[in-house]
Amino acid sequence: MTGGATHPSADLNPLDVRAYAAQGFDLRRQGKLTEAVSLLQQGIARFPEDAALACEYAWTLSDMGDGAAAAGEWRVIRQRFPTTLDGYLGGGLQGRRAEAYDTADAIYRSGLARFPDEPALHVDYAWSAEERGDQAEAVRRWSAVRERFPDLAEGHLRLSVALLATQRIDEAEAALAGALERFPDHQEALIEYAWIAQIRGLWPEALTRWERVITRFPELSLPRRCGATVLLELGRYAEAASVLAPAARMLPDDPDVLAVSGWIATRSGDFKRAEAVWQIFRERHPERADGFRGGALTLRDQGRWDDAEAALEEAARRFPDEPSVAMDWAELAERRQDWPLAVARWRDVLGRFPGLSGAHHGLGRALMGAKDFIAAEAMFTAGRQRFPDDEDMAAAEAEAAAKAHNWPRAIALWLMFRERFPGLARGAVALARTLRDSGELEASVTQARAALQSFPDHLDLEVELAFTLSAMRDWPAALALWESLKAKHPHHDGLRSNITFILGQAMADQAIRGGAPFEIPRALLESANVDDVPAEDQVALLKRFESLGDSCEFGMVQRLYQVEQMTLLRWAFTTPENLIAALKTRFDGVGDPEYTEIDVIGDEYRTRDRRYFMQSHTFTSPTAEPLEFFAPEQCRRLQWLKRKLLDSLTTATRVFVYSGQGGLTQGQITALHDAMLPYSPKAKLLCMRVKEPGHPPGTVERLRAGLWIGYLEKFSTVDIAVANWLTVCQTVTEQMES
Amino acid sequence: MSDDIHAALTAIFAKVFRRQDLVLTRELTAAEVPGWDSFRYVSLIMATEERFGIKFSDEDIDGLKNVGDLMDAVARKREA
Repeated sequence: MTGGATHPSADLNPLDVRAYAAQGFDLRRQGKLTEAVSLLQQGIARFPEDAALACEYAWTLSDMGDGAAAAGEWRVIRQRFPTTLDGYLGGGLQGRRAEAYDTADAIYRSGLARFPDEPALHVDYAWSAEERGDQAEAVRRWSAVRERFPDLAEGHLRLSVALLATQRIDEAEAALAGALERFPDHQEALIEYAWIAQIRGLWPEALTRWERVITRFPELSLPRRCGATVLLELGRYAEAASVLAPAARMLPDDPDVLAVSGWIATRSGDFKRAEAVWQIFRERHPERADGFRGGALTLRDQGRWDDAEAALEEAARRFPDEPSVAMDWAELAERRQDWPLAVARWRDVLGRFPGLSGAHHGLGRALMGAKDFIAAEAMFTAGRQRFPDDEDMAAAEAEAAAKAHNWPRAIALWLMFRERFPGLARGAVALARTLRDSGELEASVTQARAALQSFPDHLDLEVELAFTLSAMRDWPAALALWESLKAKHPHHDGLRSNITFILGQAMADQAIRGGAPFEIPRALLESANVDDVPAEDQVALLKRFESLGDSCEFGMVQRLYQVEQMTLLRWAFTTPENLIAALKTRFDGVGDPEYTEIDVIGDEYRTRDRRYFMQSHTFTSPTAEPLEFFAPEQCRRLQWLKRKLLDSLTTATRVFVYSGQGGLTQGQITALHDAMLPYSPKAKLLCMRVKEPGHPPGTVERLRAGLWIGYLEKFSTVDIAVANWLTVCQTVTEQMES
Repeated sequence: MSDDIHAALTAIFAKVFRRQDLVLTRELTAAEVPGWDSFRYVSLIMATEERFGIKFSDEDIDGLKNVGDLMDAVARKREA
């Protein structure tokens, strides 16, 4: 210890050892560290045996950042005053600051041997593991703290943080829930508890929890920001803005608050406001990428892709080290379906940020888009090896193998997935699907049934089993399972959609086979709003109509009445503009292999016309027909169906139906009819709209000779307004005949 | 039943359904042929049209209930 020039204050009693310690402490607290050191050195010279003075001196050296000197002092203190707690606390802290965690832990352990019931030592010992990054050890030490000192909120809170860091999210949440029972108003615990729900994507629950924090601490900005972000995810934009408003008033220049405000405007489609917010952001915080990203994505969401490109290019130039900008730019190429560009950009992102799992995912997705399934799989394999806990990566790898129709590999990967993530039903679900797609129907059924033992009543698993039984045309078993699923999940839209689809297949089988070798359960028919025995006049009525798209809704209505027309557009999605273009060129190129894309979606081949962008169901499973047989035959079928459509347009005996789910203007309706008239002056078109004031559901408006608008309660391929359709078709027929 | 129509349809069915063991009788219906769905039905009609150089109308197709109906429709079209 060296002497100093500082004089103690005039009122300090040089004989009072506590006065040195107290004044040294005050000086340290005021940040006058040099003065504190000088004073304390004088005190120590006078009272060399006083432990409190020695400790105050060591704390001051520590605060000055003189780690080596502080560590030396703490060592001396532990030797000279082994029963002084600070020697262990200070020495341990000094070790942690120097990242000498082994030394720190050794000091804490010797302290704990002497002071086994001292909470501060236990707490610091746990901090040491946490700061070292040994989260498993941190979990053990924080667990011990919580157990020994249950009234210490820190033990509960830090345990949950350590559990989160080890991905033990359920336990982290339970620890926090326990903490909140004991400390219901603990700010950090409340925030962590809400944050867990948010990172799990449990948006309604996260919202409830953030509301609790906001109610308890209305002055805090962070809960409002997070609450607004959750509302944003839920699509409740007005409420998000309302929750954020007080934070925006309190901290109008806070970049985090401003960013949430910008995202609310962008995501809600309030593009004018979004552009204004992002402009302000860029002016006030030009050092942050958010303003440039937000501005660019606002342009992107308006469909101004060239402008978005330019904005992201500028952002990438300004923020070359910002991964989110590089990812946005690569993702824009993906949205534009410019696959070579997307691959190049994602490759660049991955080269610069190899530690980002999103970059592996992005490049894999772009390669999938480019239909380079083998390269995509290799990418996902590399990603899986680097991020072994990323279940999405492992799943993408298996899906890429399936896309490449490398069935043995896909099955092996799903088996590996199931082994790696045994608690996830996703692996068993996908394995059942992949076995079915590969043609291993029996194995798929066996596997699904076995997996249901581990995941009883798992909806997706039962759906896969039902699909496989349907693919086997084991209709009695399949329909019974679909019926039981409908009973268990009566309001599940996705399930209803699947049932309607399957019902279509089953009814088509019945219609084509000319009999009823199996019963379709009444409950399933009710879900499709149709009677099981259609009246003959309804069948005859619906045969007089033919669908032109834009969805498969009218095709489903016909199928529900066992009207199985062989027509091109019955199962097609078409836009009015593309349909008009196709009519004007007499559907030139439809069915040419050059213009026909075939993809597998779910358990079905779908076709897409590259010129007119018509997308169509085929109701054909890859298990029933390998692609190498299906593709050429489907092109021939499309060409034949095109000829049939041209014949039908020319003879003009049928009324063509266009559903117009996207909403049709009168201009589009007349333009569509105009495009049909060159085929025949007798061309008849019925376009559909959702009910309007003055046009209740089931009514018909005649625009001109051969052109009608029909009104429905709603458009839906799941819950079809069958009665409206029948009434509209009946009215049009009567008007034609009158 | 005309023998040449029967022989030609047997070959068409074998190709469309990839089944060499199908025995075509007049009474045979879709219910008895695995894989006879609406898309295979299109392939069947297409192949029949191509083989016999005929074109079926929508009404012709609507009236087909079994193989016998198809044979009769082919015969009628050839005579027309």
